[in-house]
Amino acid sequence: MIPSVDRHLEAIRERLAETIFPMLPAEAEFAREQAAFVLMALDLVRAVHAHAYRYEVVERHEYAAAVGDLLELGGSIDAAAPAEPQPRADEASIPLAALAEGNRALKTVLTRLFDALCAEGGEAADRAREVMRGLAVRQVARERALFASTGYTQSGASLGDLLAPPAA
Amino acid sequence: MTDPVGSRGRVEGVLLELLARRRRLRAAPPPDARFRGPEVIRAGIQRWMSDVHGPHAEVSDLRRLSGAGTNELYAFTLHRDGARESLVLRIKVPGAGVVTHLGREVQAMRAVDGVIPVPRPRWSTHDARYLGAPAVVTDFSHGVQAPRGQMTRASGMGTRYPEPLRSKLAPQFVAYEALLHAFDWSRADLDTFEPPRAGTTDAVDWRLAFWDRVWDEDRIEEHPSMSLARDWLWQHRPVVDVVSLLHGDYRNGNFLFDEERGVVTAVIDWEMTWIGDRHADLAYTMFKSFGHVEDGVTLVAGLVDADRFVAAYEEVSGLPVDPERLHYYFVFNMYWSNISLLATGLRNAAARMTQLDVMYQAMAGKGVMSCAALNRVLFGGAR
Repeated sequence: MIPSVDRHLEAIRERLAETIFPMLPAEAEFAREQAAFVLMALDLVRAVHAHAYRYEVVERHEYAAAVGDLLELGGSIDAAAPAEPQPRADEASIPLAALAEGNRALKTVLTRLFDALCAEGGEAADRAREVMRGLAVRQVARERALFASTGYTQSGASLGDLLAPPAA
Repeated sequence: MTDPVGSRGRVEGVLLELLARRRRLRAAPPPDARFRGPEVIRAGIQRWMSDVHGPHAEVSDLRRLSGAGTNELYAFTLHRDGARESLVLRIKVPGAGVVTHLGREVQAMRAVDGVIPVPRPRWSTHDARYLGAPAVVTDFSHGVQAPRGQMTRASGMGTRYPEPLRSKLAPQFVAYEALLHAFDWSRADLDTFEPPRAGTTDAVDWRLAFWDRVWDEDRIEEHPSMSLARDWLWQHRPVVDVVSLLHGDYRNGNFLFDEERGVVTAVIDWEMTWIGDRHADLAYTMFKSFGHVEDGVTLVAGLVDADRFVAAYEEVSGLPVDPERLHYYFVFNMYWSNISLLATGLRNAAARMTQLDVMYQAMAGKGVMSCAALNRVLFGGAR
């Protein structure tokens, strides 16, 4: 995903801090005070957004385990504990930046393989092109959904729908 | 990409120097790479003009102009020897979204001055001590980029022209592109360009090699649509029959006109100029995204339908338009413009070299749409 969510946030923060907020008049005290809070909030979001999904996974397992402990202790209430969706205990345990970096390296390897096969020509080159065409269609579909809110792209499917696992 | 740089085509020497300079800047960006305030610009242009014209030269009325794409544009007045002149300062900012060469821009404008209307270059400098980057001063050209009151996209893209303005501007717009391509550049002072041979693929080889090099240096990550386009472009390189001086960005928004008289006063923004196949310019001008549809007909650059555009171009230039090469250069133009949108702009944003970082990152979406178009054109990929 380029630009990454973190890069977007960093750029937004710098434009606000360097370009926009300094233009606020000195007498606009309330606006300047709120501007400082906006920067603080953006710093917080930048620091934690990559961990948001893992955070919820950890909590889900901790609290589900604790509910189980209390049920074993004989606790009984009217409400049922939510069961689904149930993430695996190790889900999202790879840091987002490391995952993205690994994908980037994989894309480089793939492109080098593609170039080498195309340079050799023949049937293998044609089949390599077919593989790349399939990838190109799927990647562009994801990217169109990713940028849909900017108005630069249109997408018939939401990003969530496109990222959903295939039905079993 | 696996190909070592230059293995498929040579990159011209001045462009290699340009890329090397860019790498040095990225490795150690100057503290003011992103932003120099108006007082810094004022002091820089004053110092430069004083060095050129003597201590009595004085700069006044400096004001920032819009519409320079990714460069910085200012208007100012120069007082010297009892006279005053209105001039324009164009600064090649280090974090621009596209790689361009100041010397080429200046030489191309000087070469065609008198053939087509251009803002006459007066002085240029590569000395970054003045303004932090190479810069050129040109005459101030009167005119507007778009009809008054019209909201346009960045750099005048998508500008529309109501009648009777459209009928007045269209023939001039076509004629100037035709005259440019028919211009005998071989006797002009264009020593920053290396002359490709007609009847070969030199011109496209060198240009493709350059853009490949920029992609390799600037991309954040590989993209399958770009890999497929690169493969296709190298496989299908057409021989260039007539080698022409090209504008590189010839479209609506890149010419000024007198709205009352309907007269084109200047063809501007020569930074993408190169020497190659006229079909590269033509395919770019004919990008549907620059025009608009009216009564079911797409108007090239918002001015004239494609058939009449081609017919008028052929008549004025005496050069035929080949649909196959036009198709090739549609793909070529999508490829290089994607390098700007998906690589250079994003790389400079990540390198903290520009204040246009938020804009570049949002505009990556335009690159995505262009990848969708590449997929469709190259293999019928999903719309």
